[in-house]
Amino acid sequence: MAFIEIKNLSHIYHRGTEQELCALDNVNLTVEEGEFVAVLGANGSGKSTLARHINGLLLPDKGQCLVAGLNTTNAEELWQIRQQVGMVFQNPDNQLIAGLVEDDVAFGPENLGMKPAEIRRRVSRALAAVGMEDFRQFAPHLLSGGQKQRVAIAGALAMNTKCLILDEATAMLDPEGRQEVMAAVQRLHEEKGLTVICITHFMDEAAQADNVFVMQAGHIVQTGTPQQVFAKAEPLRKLGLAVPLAVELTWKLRQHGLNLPQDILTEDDLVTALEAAYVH
Amino acid sequence: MSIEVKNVTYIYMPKTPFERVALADVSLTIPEGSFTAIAGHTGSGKSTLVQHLNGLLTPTSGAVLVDGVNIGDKSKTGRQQAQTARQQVGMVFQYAEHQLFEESIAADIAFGPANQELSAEEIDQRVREAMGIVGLDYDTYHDRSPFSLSGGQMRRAAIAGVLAMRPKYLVLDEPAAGLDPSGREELLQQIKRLHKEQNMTIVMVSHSMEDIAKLADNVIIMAQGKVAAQGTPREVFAQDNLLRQAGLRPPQIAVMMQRLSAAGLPVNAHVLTPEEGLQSLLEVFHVK
Repeated sequence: MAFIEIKNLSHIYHRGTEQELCALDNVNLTVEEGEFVAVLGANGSGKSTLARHINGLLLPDKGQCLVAGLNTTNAEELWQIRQQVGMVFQNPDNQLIAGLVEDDVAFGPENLGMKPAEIRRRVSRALAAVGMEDFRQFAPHLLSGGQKQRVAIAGALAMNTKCLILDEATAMLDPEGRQEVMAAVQRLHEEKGLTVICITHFMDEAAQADNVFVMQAGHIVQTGTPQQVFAKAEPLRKLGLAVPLAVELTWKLRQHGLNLPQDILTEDDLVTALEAAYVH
Repeated sequence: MSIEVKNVTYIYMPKTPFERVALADVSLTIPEGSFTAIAGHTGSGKSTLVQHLNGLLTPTSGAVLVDGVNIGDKSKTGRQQAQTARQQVGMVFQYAEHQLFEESIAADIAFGPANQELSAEEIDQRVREAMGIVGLDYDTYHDRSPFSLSGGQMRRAAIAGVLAMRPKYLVLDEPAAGLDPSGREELLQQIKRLHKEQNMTIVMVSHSMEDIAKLADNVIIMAQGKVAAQGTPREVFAQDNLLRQAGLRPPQIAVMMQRLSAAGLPVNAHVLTPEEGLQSLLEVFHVK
């Protein structure tokens, strides 16, 4: 069984009022354990609603959402789901609550009533995993945006989370902060097999994923590898999206007759291909 | 005329253990008619700086002059003039749509002008004008709830609320953050039109070097509470080391072209936009 199984999931906001809005309409998707998936879609397409179902912040109006075989509608299983699925939100200033970085990361384990020695062990390990161990005694407000988001990730890791949902977690960061956070996430994915669900408007981040889901008006309209999804720019543009810069440039250069491989996704791919093309 | 920041120092929580110098003796000029972009690492002082431009923050020392008037003037004779000068500077905050609150879009946009005790006709005219500028059709939208709009439309409605005050200088803090690529493009084009067609002076804080390269004619780089560089995008983005020290990097296309140049390809390493990059590559590879 897949780690996350979403079956015929529908979600309706403000049901029975004038503002009734069907944010998710019969959505089906699966995410395997250890997979890195990206979710793309215009503002209002249902990405965040979907994410909130995966850790049970929202519950289905129809259909179901299973995480590691546990059902979000089962009140007892919900707590187990939340321990396994950590969420990092957009605004770095809304997520840290304690006066010191280490207290913030310890918040989850403390609430589970763990022994102090175990808490300390988990906090150290979690901070080291995101490269923030030198900041454990810092007050969160002295950190940069990228550092705050990494502390938020550490908070999830301290709960031994198996899956991390990034809900536009880099949208408010400067370029360096974005880079820092995505590098930390990529490392956790590769080294610790963390399952990652990355909701983003940055196409370069989606290019790092194993699989991409594209949403429109509450539906999943496209699924595939980044190569498959970014192969056609026009349908993406119609959905209010774009393709990564390297893909766009490759496409235009090919149109002008330059012989480049079709599967270029990242800046590294394109630089390598252009170097090779120049030597020939 | 211009906005002049003169030797401004700003200290958060002075004389406490949390004292922090956010701006250290900053002097700079934002010329009238320019499209000025401000970039910098989180905590570099850029948001503190823009909050000084219309007097939301008062300098610990130094002064901000709008068209020659000290906007912090509290003297009996200068107070009125300072207030008028502050109103020349409109401020659009990050996530401006969070500030929408009225029942209809027209009422929300009218809030500012109504507080200035303008006549009903004048207010109505300003609402229509502001909606026109941001591309929200008056007849379609004026009566609708602002909360029924998409993210990009809500942000445009919020900007219209500031434009209805008819500012001469428009300051926008990360106006495109969190918007999807087409919402982002649409909003930035709108801001560009404000600059070109309405002759409005734009001050835009942005983390996107790509957007800055495309739109701005004047760039200010902030680092550790000081101005690290100021100039045209071409001048500023050519200073690679300085940018990296400030925690920034040139636009992605520039980075890519620099890498190709370093690998021995005779490409133009000083491009700013994808179009310029493509042009240079086509020339190098002799394809048309």
